Amino acid sequence: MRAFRFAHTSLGATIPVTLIPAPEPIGRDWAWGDATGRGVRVCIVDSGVDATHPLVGGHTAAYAVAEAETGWTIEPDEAGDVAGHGTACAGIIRSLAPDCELTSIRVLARNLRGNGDALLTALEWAVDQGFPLVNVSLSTRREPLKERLHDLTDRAFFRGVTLVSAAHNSPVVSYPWRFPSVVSVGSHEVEDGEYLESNPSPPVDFFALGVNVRVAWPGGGSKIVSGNSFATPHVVGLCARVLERHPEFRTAQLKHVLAAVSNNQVPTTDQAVGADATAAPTGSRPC
Amino acid sequence: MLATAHDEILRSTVRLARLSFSAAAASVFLYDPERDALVFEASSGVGEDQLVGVAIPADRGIAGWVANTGEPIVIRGVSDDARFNRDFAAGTGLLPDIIMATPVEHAGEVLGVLEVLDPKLDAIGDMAAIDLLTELANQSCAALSLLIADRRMHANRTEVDGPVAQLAALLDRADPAREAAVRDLITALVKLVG
Repeated sequence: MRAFRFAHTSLGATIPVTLIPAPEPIGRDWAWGDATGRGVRVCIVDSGVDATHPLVGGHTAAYAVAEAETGWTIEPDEAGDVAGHGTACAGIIRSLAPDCELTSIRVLARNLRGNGDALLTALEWAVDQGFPLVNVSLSTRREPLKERLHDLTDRAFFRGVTLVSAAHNSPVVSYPWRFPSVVSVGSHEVEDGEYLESNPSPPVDFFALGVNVRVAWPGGGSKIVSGNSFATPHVVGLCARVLERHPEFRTAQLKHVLAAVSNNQVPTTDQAVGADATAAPTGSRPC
Repeated sequence: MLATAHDEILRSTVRLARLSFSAAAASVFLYDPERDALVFEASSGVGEDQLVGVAIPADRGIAGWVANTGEPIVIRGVSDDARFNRDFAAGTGLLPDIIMATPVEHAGEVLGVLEVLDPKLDAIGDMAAIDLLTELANQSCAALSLLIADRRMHANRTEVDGPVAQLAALLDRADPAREAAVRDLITALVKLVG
């Protein structure tokens, strides 16, 4: 029986290995091997990051979205993390890709009517800066922003900026995670940060660990949290490893490689007879 | 009377939230757009109502995160967070270890945040608990939105120079012999604005 019930979570479905167009099996050794994300620039759009936390490990540039009379701007930030969520995501990313280069941009707005604009401003900045990876553990339900966000995620896709975006925890429509130009992430509960499921039923692309996750928290301690927003940085960390090994990859290639190394593939009936079982990714789901 | 009903809905919501999870306390913040702040409106349990009226910036803390993102969250291990403890304990005397929070939303707009402190989650599980709390918040918000709509309708009726009052005065003065004309007028109005 499933022990968790928020929306956009894994039902334990499998995908036939024939869904992966690859003349040779793609394994994790080829995808990232011993890569640690070295040199890969990752932007975290969230509540800020406490870079002094040992699990984050420092070396984090910090910016914030600010509301001025002329509109929203991006400013250097020294406030750190004002809610805790961004530090949690940063710690998860660094647990998988300890040598990636982190940049934090804080988007929490005091004026709730404008928080969708703050998110858009931050994402536009991240795309303009050309970060190859952007962790977006939040979304907006504001329909008037849908078209601008759609255009922006398309621009990111064409520019080689991969937006890794959390699916909403409730069964509602929100953006940008529903757009096919981003990598969208929901949760599974397998206690393994590298365990990845490819979803045969989009719009969620992948499931990663998002239930009862121990995370870094501002001030040096840790908390146990659950939600799709904590599954997302697991995928970002794995992508950072891939990009160290294959820096030319963009969103389409990253989606393909992640699907190819996902843990929920099963061989077709034909392949099961006489197939080289050691070549295929592990398809079993730990109980 | 309407202000009382408004308060009663909020009080009932926090009490129901606390009882549902055998929690130490539950509270609700509503967003005040004039101050860009979340205002503590009602609470149930330990420290009950000691913080009512207190405003916190809408871009800070766990409540600020939930209000900004519209995402529910459960956080365990809060009691070792010295910064949180200082601020909260100063107001209530409660040092919670678990915080569960969900947005109070209507038509995709976050109106506030409902929080439960130290809920008993072992039997139900974190995510089923979030599911339940979210539905409680939705129900409360639906009641509040009905109240607001009713308040608007009531204002229309009681406004001395408003269209409802003018029409009522006109119909009150109408000649009984022209009852058929009055019926035709009502039928036409229903077609026009119904």
